Amino acid sequence: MFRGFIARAGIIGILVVSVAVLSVLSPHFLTVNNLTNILLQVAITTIIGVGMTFVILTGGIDLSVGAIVALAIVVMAVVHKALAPMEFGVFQWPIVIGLPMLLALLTGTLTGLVNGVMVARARVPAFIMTLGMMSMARGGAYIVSDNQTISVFPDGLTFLGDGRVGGIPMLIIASLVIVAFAAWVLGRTIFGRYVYALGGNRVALRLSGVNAARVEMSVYAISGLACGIASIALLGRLNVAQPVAGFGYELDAIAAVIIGGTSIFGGEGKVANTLLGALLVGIIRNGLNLLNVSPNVQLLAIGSIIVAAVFLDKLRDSARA
Amino acid sequence: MSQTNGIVTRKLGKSFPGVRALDDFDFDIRPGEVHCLLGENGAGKSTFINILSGSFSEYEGEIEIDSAPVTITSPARAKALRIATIHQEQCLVPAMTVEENIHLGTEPRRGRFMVDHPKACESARAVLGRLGVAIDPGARVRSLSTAEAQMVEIAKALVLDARILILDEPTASISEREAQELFRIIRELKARGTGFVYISHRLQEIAEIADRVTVMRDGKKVGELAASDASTERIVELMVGRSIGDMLASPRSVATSDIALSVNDLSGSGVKDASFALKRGEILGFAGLVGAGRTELMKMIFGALPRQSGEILLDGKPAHISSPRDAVQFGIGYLSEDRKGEGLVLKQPIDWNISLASLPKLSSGPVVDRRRERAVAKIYRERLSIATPSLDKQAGQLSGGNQQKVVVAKWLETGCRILIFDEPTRGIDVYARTEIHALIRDLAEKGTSIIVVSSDLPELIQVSDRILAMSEGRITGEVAVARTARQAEVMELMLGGAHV
Repeated sequence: MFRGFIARAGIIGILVVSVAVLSVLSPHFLTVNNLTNILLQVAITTIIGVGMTFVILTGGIDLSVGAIVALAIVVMAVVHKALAPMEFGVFQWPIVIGLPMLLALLTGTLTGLVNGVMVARARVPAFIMTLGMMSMARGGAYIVSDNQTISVFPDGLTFLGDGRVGGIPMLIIASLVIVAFAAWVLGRTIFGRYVYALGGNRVALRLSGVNAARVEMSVYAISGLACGIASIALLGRLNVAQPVAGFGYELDAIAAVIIGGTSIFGGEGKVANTLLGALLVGIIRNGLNLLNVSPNVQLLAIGSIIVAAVFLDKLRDSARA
Repeated sequence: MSQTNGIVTRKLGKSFPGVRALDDFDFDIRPGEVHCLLGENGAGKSTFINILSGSFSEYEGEIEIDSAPVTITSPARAKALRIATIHQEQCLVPAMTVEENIHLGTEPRRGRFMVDHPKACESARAVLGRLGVAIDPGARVRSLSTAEAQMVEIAKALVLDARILILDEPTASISEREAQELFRIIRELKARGTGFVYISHRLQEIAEIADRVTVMRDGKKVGELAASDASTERIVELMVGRSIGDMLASPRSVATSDIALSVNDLSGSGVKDASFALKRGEILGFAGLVGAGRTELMKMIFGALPRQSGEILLDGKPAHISSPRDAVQFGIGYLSEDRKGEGLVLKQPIDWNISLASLPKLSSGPVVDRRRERAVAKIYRERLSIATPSLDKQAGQLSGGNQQKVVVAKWLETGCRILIFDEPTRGIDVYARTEIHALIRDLAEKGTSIIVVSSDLPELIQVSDRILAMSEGRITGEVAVARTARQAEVMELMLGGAHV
């Protein structure tokens, strides 16, 4: 699609310029260590951004992703710590490692599904529903963890976030696989079509005899699932689970999607560009860190970038009209 | 006094990327005349009125008002020059009152910041009174009918003391009776010296209201006629550049008496005890005023609106339809009156839109078979003569007629046996209109049972085998055998005057 092409060309251009500028400004930027670090940080934003892309393509928004990550991560940690001292014989690994991971995915998916049902069936505006869920899930995370930070986990549980396959971090591989799979779903499958149609013209989709509400519910569940995956990755990366995890992640995820050129009004965009958007956000963050810019100023920068991206998108639209 | 009063444009031009939308366009509007502007969609009418109403900051050519050159580079400038435009899409704020809308931007003030309410109300009442319409200045615009809202827009123009009023298809979505009311007001304002640019697709209105007629094609003026010389044949010929005589309908008879769809005592929002039967291969017209409940009835049959009572039988068997999904599975298709808002995903390509309602059929497992989708779209492009350079073109970039064909293709691909057309040719130009009519008859010929809802009586008479009239939610009568139906007879039923 033309729009996708422009967005991609634009972001790649900005990416190249950012890398060039930062390489000159900081001797630490172009090091294997730093670049790997960026990619690992970006991977989590990307995974959440993939789910967010589905939601935004339908014309919705999910503000609760950061809080869902926190809820899922503490559920996983608490269940693991509760089961770890017990003996399950041959089932030791599936129960102590597998079950907590599965619960993280389920927690994310079900929380997302609650968002979806309320948005699609009860017609609560997505902004309000997920804003409410942001608080509910965060509250849930504090309750489940009893305000405690839980730390030190076995290798199996941290593999996604910390492991390597053939020297390449597992998390980077996983995020690329997830992006590729999402691109396939959105680009090739019937469900993908319906996601675009829902954002492009909800009534037309419904009048075409498609259960539009079910499509809408699904995208929030997908966003929740992505948060579940991200929570497993985060636990592995930090080897810590705490109820404040994932704070502010919604900002980076939405920024990645929007900077990737997906229309905030739905119906248009590409998930592969979300990866580029996440890279750009990650590189800018990292660069500001290396340049000793305070986190407060970073917030200011990322916020401005989101607004600028939407503004440019508007300009592009009106230039075409 | 200058020699040329009113507005004169010379060599007006406007280009968009890839299109010369308006080219060397000379036009003039004298005080106290109605100058009709005709042309197919895309002929350049909209571009022209957008220039006059200040929508473009740049254009080529010159505009003179009372022999003085002017430039119109913003809507505010057009307003200052007392040019008012009443667009097809309403430009009122629904949540505000009639009075507030009439004075939006020209509020009578008390001091610098306060609105002088008593004065505003009085002035609104006065201007509505001048128009001779009974609309409460305190009513919210949301609660008005389309025709009433249009009157409010005219009132707004009067407050501006407009010397030129541009009306873009003012009768497209109002009833015949309301149109007559509109014509009365136009005549009155004309007598007071207001000049009108009048755009319409309904040729019969010209004889009624126009003094002069200018026909456009491909951004150019192709003819200017006095209204008295403007016969329908002559105009259509100018508009399309060819004769359409051979595309007019000839009477046909429905061979079968099989009932494809019967509706018994259907009631719900805006519909009361509607019963009718549709034969296989029949074209059944639904006449009625806007708000008579026709669209609601169709949406109930299609499962898009809930019904309170009544049953629907398909081929004699009860069909439980509670969503459009059910209806589609029962082989019913519905072409909404709002093609862009409810029929198409405008930013997606043509083939994509055609396959939207039949994706499971065009897929292997969860994956859409793009080659088959493409092949199917090609077949429909051929069969329905959808005019487009490529199937990758966005549906939103097509003309109204071609958009409608895309929606028809979407439904044909579902294999539906009953097809409901709600206002099939609204906003569609004359030539495409005859094509759509021919298509509807062709489908019926091949056994599809068809319902046509239209506010355009000549259209119904031309296309239907039988016409039912609705008024205030009820089916009020039937006129058999389309070609002999007299317009007046159907009209009477629509107004609810005769009950069967």
